[in-house]
Amino acid sequence: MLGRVIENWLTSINERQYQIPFCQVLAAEGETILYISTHGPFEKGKDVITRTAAGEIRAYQLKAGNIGLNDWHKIYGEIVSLVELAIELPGRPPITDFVPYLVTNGELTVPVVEQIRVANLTWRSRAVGNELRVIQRGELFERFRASHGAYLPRELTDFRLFLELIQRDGSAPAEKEKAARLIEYVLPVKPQQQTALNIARSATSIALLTAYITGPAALVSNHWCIFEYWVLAGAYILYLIEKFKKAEADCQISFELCEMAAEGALTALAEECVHRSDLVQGFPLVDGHTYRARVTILVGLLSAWDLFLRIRHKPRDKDDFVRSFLTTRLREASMWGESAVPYLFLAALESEENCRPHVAEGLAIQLIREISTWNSAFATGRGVSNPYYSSGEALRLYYSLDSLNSEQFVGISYCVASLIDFLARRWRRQALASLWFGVTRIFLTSYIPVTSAEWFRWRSSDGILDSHLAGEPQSWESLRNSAETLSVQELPPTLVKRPEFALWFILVYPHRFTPAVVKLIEDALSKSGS
Amino acid sequence: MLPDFPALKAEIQRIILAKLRLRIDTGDPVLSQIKGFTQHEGREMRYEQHGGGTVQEGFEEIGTGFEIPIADVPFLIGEKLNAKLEEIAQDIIARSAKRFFKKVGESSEKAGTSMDAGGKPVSAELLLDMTEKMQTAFTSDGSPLGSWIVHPDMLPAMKKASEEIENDPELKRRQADILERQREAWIARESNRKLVD
Repeated sequence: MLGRVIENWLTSINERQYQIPFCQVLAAEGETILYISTHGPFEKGKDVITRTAAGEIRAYQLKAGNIGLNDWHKIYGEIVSLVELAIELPGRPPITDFVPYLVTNGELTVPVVEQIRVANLTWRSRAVGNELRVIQRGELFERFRASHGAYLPRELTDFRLFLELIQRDGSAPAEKEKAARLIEYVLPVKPQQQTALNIARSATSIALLTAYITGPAALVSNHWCIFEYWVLAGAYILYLIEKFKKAEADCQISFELCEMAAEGALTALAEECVHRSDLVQGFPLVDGHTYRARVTILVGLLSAWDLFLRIRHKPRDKDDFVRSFLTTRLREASMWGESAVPYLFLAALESEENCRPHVAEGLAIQLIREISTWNSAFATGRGVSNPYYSSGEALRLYYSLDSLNSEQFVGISYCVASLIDFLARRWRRQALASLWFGVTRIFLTSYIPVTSAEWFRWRSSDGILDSHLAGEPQSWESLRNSAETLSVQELPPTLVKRPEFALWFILVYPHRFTPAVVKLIEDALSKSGS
Repeated sequence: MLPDFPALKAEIQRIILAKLRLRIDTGDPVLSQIKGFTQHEGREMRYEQHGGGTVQEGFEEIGTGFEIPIADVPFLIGEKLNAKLEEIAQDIIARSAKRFFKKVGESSEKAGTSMDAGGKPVSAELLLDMTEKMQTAFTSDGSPLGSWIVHPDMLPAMKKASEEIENDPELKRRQADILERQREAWIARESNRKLVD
């Protein structure tokens, strides 16, 4: 039954959608990924390039669906490029001797198979030794299935959850709680019995399961949802590394593929935003209820994308667009609850990087003021929802659609401490002085997982909820010192090593938006010299 | 299995539990004034306690058991169901209140704010001593905030002591002095809510 699900998924997606999972399969089979195409004009017929353990270089061209004679003629130019053009990788001499593969999630008709046979003969007669090989649906499916090893949903409850996820409405936000539960079902449970190979295989399975559950969202280009699932998957791979304290190198490729897929989703989202004249989505009559939240999410995601590229020193071909998007759209953003704070915080960092510190600091000041007013111990309402409430859940509360929920949020804040540190590091003493009276009326709270691995679980069970009150009075000097010298050592080493991933992590896990994570991100941006 | 309606029953259960939660949250005049919050992760919490340093502790389960005779099931709707819920709520409220006063007692003892009357009856003197020891906040128009929580049996004695203060100029002056000191202390505390060098 599960095989049917994988097969159904594999045959319903296009080549770009199975590119990353296919790379995961190759990596699980022992090939080292050397290059993954971004489908730009320089791809030269090769979507993926790998090296086998024996040193053989392989180049793959991915296609979707059945390939008949007409299709063959249409793609023939790309096939010639795949077979004949040398592989050029940075810092290496051109490679002319490699094995080219045509991969499709459909099947080749008999005449096409014949065309390939003759084409190979022709190439050989011209002293082109690279013989084109083919991977079709059946083989592809078997290789996907084999890559999971033992790490697949097997119990009925797991399987029901899996089916639920792959049958969801693709236009809905990611169902992170359920996806996390599914991933936790398939993770290895007994650390002492796990070899590095098994841990890596579990990481492979996380990546492949994520590819399947992003299927519905991929069909409707719901980039935000795709991004969230891949970041969740990346976080769980870091969980594996932290939990078992080994296999980091073996899991690295799976993590990188998750990161690459998440980046791809953000790139596609940016591309869509460039071509949108407005940000209305769906039925305009009711979209007013969610419009501002969407703008908040978009400014946060685009900022996260651009900041990621800055830290990685990657080309930023849409930096002007992101800048102008923030300039024009930030005023339409709103804070639905504390889970919106990471989005607005990244918009603040991006504004700062774009030489608009007054916007950045103004945002932080506004957020502190709003939260400390609404969540003051003396406030009369229920307060601003905490970061455990997603945008959708918070909006349901706001519009009184969740009448059975009686949770109160007054008296505490999970985000204000990080924002205070942000302003203190910028020497905004006067602004903080004006906010301090309100700040002393709330408990500054953060959840501290007991182990590094627990940091990456969607809902950690082993940890302490730490609350403290702001100083009364508070020494400015000591506040500034503690903000500037705050150690990031309490964070998981795998996250400290990957500060650019932390940018995305706090969007997907807003309940991990803590002063130390914020400091880690700021330090990385500062070091990137952008 | 016998024919069943799980989705319908799950919805009813959700509504019933929300009703029960609301009843528990509002059923006790003291507990209903305390702002609560939900801890979504972890098994422990850490916080600063006035005069008690940093406290780190886990949770204590408060619950109750109840029986539903099979013969009652066909009638357990409407008023009868509400009565059952009320019974459950009252039991949980009583347990919560008991736990609350125990905790307040322990915390006050730790912070040094508790007083032992040594078995003496409530008097005006005792009332003034207690007023002196309480940390009091004030409204913007200067009125003291706060409540006295006493056992109903003690209410007549408390009233009598209050009247004694009201009718004795010396005691009344002492009370006014105490409140003035409390107000000054409160202003000092409030003015400390600031950034300094």
